[in-house]
Amino acid sequence: MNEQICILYIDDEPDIRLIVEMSLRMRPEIDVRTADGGEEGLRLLAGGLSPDLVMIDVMMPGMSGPEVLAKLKADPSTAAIPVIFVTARAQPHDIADYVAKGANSVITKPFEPISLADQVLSILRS
Amino acid sequence: MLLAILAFWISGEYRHSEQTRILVRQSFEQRRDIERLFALVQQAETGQRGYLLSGDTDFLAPHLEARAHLDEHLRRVGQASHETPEDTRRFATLQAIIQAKFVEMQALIDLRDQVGPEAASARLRQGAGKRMMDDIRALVAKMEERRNAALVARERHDAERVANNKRIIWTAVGIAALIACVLGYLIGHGRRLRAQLARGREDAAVRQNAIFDSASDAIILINPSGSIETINPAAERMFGYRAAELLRRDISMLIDIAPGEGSFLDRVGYINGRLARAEMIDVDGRTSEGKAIHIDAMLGIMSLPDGVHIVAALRDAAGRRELEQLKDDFISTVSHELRTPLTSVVGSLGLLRSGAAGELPPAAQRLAEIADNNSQRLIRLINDILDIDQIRKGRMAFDYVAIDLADVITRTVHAMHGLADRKSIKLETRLPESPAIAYADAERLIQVASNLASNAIKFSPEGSSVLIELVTGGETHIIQITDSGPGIDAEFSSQLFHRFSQGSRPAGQLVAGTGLGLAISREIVLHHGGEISFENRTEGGARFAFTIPRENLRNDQGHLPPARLLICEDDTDAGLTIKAMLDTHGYSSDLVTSVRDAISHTRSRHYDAVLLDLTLADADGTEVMRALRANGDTRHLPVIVISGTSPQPLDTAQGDFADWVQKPFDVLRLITAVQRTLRRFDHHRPLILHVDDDQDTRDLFTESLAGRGQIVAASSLASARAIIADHHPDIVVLDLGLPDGNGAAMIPELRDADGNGMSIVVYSAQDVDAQTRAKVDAVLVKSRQSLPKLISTVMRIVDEKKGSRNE
Repeated sequence: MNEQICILYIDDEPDIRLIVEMSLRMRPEIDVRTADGGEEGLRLLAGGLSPDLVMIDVMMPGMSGPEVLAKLKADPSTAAIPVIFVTARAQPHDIADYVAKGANSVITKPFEPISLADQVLSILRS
Repeated sequence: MLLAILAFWISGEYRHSEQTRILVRQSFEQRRDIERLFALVQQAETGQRGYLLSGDTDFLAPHLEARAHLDEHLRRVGQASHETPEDTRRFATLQAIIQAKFVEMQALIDLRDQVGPEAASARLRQGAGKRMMDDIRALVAKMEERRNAALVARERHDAERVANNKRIIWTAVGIAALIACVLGYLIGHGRRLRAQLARGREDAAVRQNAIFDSASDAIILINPSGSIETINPAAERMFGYRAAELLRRDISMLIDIAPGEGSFLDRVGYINGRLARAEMIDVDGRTSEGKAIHIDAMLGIMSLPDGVHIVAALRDAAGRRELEQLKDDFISTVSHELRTPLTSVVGSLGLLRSGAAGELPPAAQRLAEIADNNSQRLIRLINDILDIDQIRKGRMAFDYVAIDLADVITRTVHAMHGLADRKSIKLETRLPESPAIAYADAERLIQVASNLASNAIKFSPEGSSVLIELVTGGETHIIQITDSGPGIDAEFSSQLFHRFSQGSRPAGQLVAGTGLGLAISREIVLHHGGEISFENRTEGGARFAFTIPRENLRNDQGHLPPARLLICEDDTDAGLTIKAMLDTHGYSSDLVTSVRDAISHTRSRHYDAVLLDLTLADADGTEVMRALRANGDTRHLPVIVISGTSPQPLDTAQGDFADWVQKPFDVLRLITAVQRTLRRFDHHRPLILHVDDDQDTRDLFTESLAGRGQIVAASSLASARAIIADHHPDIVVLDLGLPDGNGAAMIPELRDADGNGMSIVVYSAQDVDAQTRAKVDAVLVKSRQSLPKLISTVMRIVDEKKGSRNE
């Protein structure tokens, strides 16, 4: 897979945004854009960004991850973009809940930064 | 006893003194007799002499009188003179001399009479008579002396005896006094002790009453029939009654510690001298004002003469609930909020180590590794704390699906590689050739296997190997992990699987762990119906093993309570016959005869199906169907019509019937109809086989469909075939690109010649030809967004299958 992949990562924690960005950029084909919350993320999307994947933190002040997801699914221009939740709250029943809401997958915090990109790519390919 | 001896002794002494008295009297009489005898002899001599001198015959009168009485006096003295041979001899001598004396005296009298006074005087002067008289005097004196001596001896003996008796009496009096003193002391002491005990009991009772009265917990004593006997002030306050108002009232007035029917002791769970539930959490109670309260109750047994009483100590559950909520919140905060900073720490360290921020010098690399390893340890600690908390509350979530345990081993080994590599430990696996299918939660079993494997790695020396093997047995599968470490200390082995225990470690070796891992592992294995154990191998090292039972996947339906059916039949005999048929096949059922009863029964309790006779006592049976369909709760309740006529369509408003059994029917026909109906409706959850070699897809699919059906996962054609042969799934979700072949090869095996059989959904990145497409129910291309679609497709098929069966 040589084509460039664009991922939008939404998280209110700047440290984690940086770590996710660095982890994903370890794979040269991945391009990462970040947003500090649902509002900024949606603004980026409305402004013409069309990522191949959106990764969202679940617990954020303001709009929560599931709220952002609902907005994405409600808008025909973004409904088809796959979504992965990245969250510390990932008990089995939580995961089932996220999938039922339309998430394609869930990555548990803390994640292994070295293999994060591989993990994301394998989810994207399946 | 003592008194008897004393009485015997006193009577003996009395006899003795009587004897003495008799003896003294006798002795006195004997002496008197001797003296009289002597006086008689003197009288006879005096008379004789007077006569001899005077010749006057008057003087002879005393002499003759004495002679007349002589024999009598001799006999009396003789009688008393035989005590000793000496006495006898002496008396004989006396008697002879006296008799001789009397012969001499007669001879002198005769001589004076016949010869004259001079002749008599001459003979007298010869002194024979005088000598005899002297001898008699001497003998009499001796005899008297003898009598006196005997008497004196006797008196001396008696005096000694009296003295002895005095001593004995005084001794006895002394002993008696001593005994009296001791008895007096003992009685007094006993009285004091009794008084002390009584005071103690009184004190204790007062204290116990004070405890009872001042206890902050409500305490109620309940008699064997469930009535309140005693209640403390805390209980009065808790329920808002005064004690007098509650006396002899049933406990159910306050709190539901003994629900149901039957005797109070049965209801409260009193069996064989023990309480089945001594601790009751969150029991419903009510105050005098009718306010509902939640109460934690501790029950105790008090055996009293009038039967077994129950002591209930009650505490408002609100405080405990608040604390628990606080703790839950705290644990939730700790576990989830700590993860966020940890994500930054672990992420940064991982990136540093990977060189994402540039190559690190070796020392910095080593430090980053230490920090990273310890952060990982912190994550495990948080996870363990969460797990233990879930286990303690009985809330650990388990997702049971059919899995191949070989996958558990493979994924465990994959996860453990990093840890093993660090110590240059070789992880060896030994797996059986055929799939080891079990009904289990794969993630949890991986957690157990990883815990055991990481322990094995930690305790094994560098460069050694750890063996992880799967053995399939008759009843169970066994996963065992063997290391070449130092083994487990015997003294520690009993508590190995308990909370917060860590095995004694070789000196100086630091091992990461929370001490919770084995306790969590044990709980997980027990939840699966298996067992966990360990052994120290004779050749060194420890072997941990856990078992997971092989279980028929369909068996879990056996855990459900029996289906409950409502029989609506106006003919009671016929109704009872149907009920008996159902009973013998393990169903529970209720019988009603009228439309009214049928409707009220279906509204008041849950039924899995209704058996309906169309002619009922009060109205047409179709009214029951109409009522069922009109109510949201019973709209889908299946109805089996039992009728004398052949099946005929019903109005739309009445809805459809699940089956129609024509009278007369046999038991087989009825039971078949019931079984078929129940299978079609709620009692049947479809078995879905998901064949995919990608673990994440399998996990997501399983999680998403939880509750909608039983899900069996397989990662290869071989394990899929094994599951299909054993369990006949209803729906197969099939990936085509499998490690041991193309999934399409299996499709013909799932369908018979007419194309009937299992529903098949192909879910694959590969394209499918038209011929294959025609044989399956749906084809979905595995892609970024297709998982939700796959799930909705499977759910639609599940619903269709139910629907089609209903038609």
